[in-house]
Amino acid sequence: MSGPTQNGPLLKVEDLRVYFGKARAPVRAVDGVSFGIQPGESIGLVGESGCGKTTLGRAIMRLLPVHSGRIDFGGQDIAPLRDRELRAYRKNVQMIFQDPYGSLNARMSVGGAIEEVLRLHRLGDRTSRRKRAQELFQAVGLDPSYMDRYPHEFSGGQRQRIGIARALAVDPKLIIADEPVSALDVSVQVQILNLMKDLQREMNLAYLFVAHDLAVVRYVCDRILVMYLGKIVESGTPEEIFTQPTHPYTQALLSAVPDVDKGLKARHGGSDRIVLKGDVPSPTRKIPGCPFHPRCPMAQDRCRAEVPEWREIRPGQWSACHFAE
Amino acid sequence: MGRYIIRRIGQMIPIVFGVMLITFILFNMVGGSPALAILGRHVSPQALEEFDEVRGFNKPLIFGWWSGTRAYDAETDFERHAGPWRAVEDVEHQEAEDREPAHIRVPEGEHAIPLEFSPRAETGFRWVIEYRLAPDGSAALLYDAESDEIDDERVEQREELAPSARWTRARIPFESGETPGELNMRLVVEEGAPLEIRAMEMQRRANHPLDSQFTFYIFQTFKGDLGYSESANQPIARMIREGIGPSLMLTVPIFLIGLIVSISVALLCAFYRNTWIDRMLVVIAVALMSINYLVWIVVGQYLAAYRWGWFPVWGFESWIYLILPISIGVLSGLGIDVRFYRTVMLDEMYKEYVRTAFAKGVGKRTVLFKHVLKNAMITVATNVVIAIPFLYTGSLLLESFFGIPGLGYMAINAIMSSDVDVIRAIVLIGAILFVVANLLTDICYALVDPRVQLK
Amino acid sequence: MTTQMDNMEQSARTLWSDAWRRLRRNRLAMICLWVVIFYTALAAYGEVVYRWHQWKDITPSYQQTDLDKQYLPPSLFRQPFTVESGAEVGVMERMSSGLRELARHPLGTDGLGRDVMQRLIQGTRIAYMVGIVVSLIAIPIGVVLGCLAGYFRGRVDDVIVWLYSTFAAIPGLLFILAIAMVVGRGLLGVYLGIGLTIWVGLCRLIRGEVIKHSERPYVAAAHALGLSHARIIFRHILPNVFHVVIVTFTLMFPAAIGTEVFLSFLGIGAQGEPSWGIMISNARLRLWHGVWWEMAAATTALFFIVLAFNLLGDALRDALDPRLRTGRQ
Repeated sequence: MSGPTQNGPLLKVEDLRVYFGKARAPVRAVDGVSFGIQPGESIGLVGESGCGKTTLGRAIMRLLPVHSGRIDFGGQDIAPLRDRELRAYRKNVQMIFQDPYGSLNARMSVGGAIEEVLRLHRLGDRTSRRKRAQELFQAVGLDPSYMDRYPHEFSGGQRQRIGIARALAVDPKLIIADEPVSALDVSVQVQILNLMKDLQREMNLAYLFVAHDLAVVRYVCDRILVMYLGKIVESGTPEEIFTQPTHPYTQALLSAVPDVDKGLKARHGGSDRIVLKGDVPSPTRKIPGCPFHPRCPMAQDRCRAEVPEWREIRPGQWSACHFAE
Repeated sequence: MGRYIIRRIGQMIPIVFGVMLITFILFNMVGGSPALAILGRHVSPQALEEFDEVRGFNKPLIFGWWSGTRAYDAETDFERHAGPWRAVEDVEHQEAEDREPAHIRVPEGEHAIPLEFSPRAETGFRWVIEYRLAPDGSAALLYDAESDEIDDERVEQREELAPSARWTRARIPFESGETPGELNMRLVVEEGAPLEIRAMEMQRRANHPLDSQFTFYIFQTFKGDLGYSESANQPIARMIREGIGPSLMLTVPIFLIGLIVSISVALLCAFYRNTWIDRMLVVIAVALMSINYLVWIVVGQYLAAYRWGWFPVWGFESWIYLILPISIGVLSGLGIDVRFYRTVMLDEMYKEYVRTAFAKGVGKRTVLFKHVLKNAMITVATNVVIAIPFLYTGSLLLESFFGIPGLGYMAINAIMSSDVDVIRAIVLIGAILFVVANLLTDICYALVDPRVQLK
Repeated sequence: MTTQMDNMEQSARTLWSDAWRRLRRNRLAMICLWVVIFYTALAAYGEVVYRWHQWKDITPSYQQTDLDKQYLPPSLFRQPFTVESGAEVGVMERMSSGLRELARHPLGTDGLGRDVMQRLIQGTRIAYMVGIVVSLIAIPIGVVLGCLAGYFRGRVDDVIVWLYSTFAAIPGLLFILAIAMVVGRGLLGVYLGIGLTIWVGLCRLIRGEVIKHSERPYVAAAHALGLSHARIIFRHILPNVFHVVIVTFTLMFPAAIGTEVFLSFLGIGAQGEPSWGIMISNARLRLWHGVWWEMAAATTALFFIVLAFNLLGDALRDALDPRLRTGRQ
């Protein structure tokens, strides 16, 4: 079992749970998440801060230990991988980070950072590595003659491009993008998102795009997963999510997006912003029934008693709410 | 809070243990035999052994069954001469040559083994012999388990030394008899070849493996017995009790006066922040800091006591004798303290709430004294508590130079005369104080600063 | 498809060169740097003199007793240009003989007729040896332990924190004296004594910085890329933490020198060789007889090098402050 299989999904996550802290009252960062990513597919993962999306991304990257559940890449369970096999996995899955400056070693030249990756995976000799680094630089839209400069000499957007180049150096099949544009100016955001879309097309990349900004995710992704308190509460295409959200949390999120398609508000009977009551509860508390019910404007007794099923409301659109239709 | 305290105490104990371990390693393992150092080389092995017995030095170091004894004399290798075998007839000594190590050659016959003194009764011992014996030779150790008064009841134990063409090591255990001295041991070399011995040592078996010097030391300390000082001829605990007073009389005033003066100067710096006054004060502070502590003392003593005759030079008659050392102590510490407190004050002043206060129109003086000082006090308080352990050792140098009979003075004398026990005791108490002070600091922090969460 | 890159400057600038630029602008720091260089040159010269005498197997002049030349005050105080009354001496001759006298024992001689200036230079040599060797002992220990503790956390961290807390709990000077006493007289005791106590501060600092850096994204990225622990610690984290080492070194050096002065004074340190501590010790008693120049020379020499290093250390700390790192946010 060495490479990903052709048919099946590229990445399959089954009932994944990532807990931190004490055994008695753990922080349930990821609390039973299941989904799959097909090759070349772009999945958006949205939710508020603390909902567990970053943790999920890191768990898939094998940066964090997993409590239970399975992560399969190319049909192979990645949990027992060690050393050489783990490094092989890392050639297939890479990550881009939120903080463009913090994610680069300030004391290493940017070209050096990319060449280091190539050297680690023994891809070519010194001259071919340098050439490849230059190619990567160009591929992300940067002038290769600046490869010997240091991160602080670049702008935020440029640094993020460097981060992308570094991730691409190993020729991955899947890139986990952890809020890649949140720290950038809006005008620059669009450039980076465009770059990512172009790269996806050229290299048949799959993305797991973690973000809290729905508008961003809509632009890039084929499918969107909405996460709340460690669980996925809704899944569907951007169109479905944006025009016909079935889960109350998704609806609340959407209503908070400024200046979105005004038609949405009209289609929802002209309702105003849905302001959720309370704050996101502490992830150590185990909430009975539907995890969202304490804040849900539509909550009923049933919600407290029964955990809602994850069911397909419309073809391709799934939701975990008793009242979704 | 209670649980936090308990947990911190739990962290403190390994540290105190660690301190004991380190001083132990330093003095017992590295330092060599204190008995020889203190009693001198010309004392009989018996006396050495007794010295060791009282202090537990004849036990294995940290863990083990066997430890050396002096019953066979300190020399166990034959580098320069035949050692204890000099007195025995016919034993030849060979010096080291080419690749042959120095050794003795014991010819055929029966030889008594020279012992410096009779080993203890009812104890297990063993010989560790490095020897060489040609294949046709035969040698053995014979000993009587009982005295040979009763002729016909002689019981002999015989331990063979197997022939070996190369140097080999044999370990031959034996027991001593019921009363001291009941050991008649002979080395018998039979016809065939002489026995060559390169090294020979008599070891004693400990009662159990943990009966080591280290455990001995730990138990003694817990009993409160800090030992006895050879050089000062008093029990150490009493020395320490007597020494604390003068030390504190020196360090507490230095500390308090120093604190008040440096905070005042630091406030001045903060008040005149970024003006020439501030900058000048900083430069002066660094200059003061750069003057070597020793120089402060020597020059201070020379100028103030000798040259200008303001103060007495040496001694501890009355409080006047303390003024000069205290002044020197304060002055020498000013540089460092002023810089430190100034940083604390300025850090506080650059915080948002101070700028807001200024923007609101609150006067500089009020801001400084009401707000900044109060918040800076947290850091100051922890600094104070941390300094407590240092008050205890006093200033080693100040006390020595001015003849103040405190712990520092005691410590320096102990160093000079290699009095290990005194130093160990002072270090141990100092460490305990340090660790306790740290705990108090953390508790203070937790109480005073509402943001601190006890983890 | 390339983006606009007019924000790039003319030539590459590392963060180190930025810091150097900042340091250059600080005039006081530059003066201190020159002082340090001057002293270093003196120390090197002293070493050469020492080695030469060793090689030739001669006793150097600064060790030879010459009671005829006892207690000569510094040359300026010896009125080199005055002339005995009655003698007929021309101006040029007076100048040249005066200058020669000026150059002879410019700082005077000590109680055994030995030239103070030469001894001072040898003292510089010893001070530098102490500073360098102590740093060579303390820095590797502190850095390695600090990195291991900060990076691996968990058990490793617990053990290392216990270790340095234990060392820190022992009263400093006492510990140094005890180690020196155990190791025996001579410079080895000084090196080990100071070196084995002074590493604690550095270890704490490094550990703190490494912990902070371990949580930063570039380290997570390095993990994600599959780099080995050793590579991450040494090629990624350490260079970013190294400024701490530099500043600590500039503060450790004068501390070591100052402590050696005590130790030599107490007779524990350098034996035979003229360290500043020994000079001060010798000069102390003479002081009471009005012989001030030996004491003045040693204490002044000591003062200026310590001052220079302290000020330089402060300036370096400011120049290397990561918060001042230029980087468009």
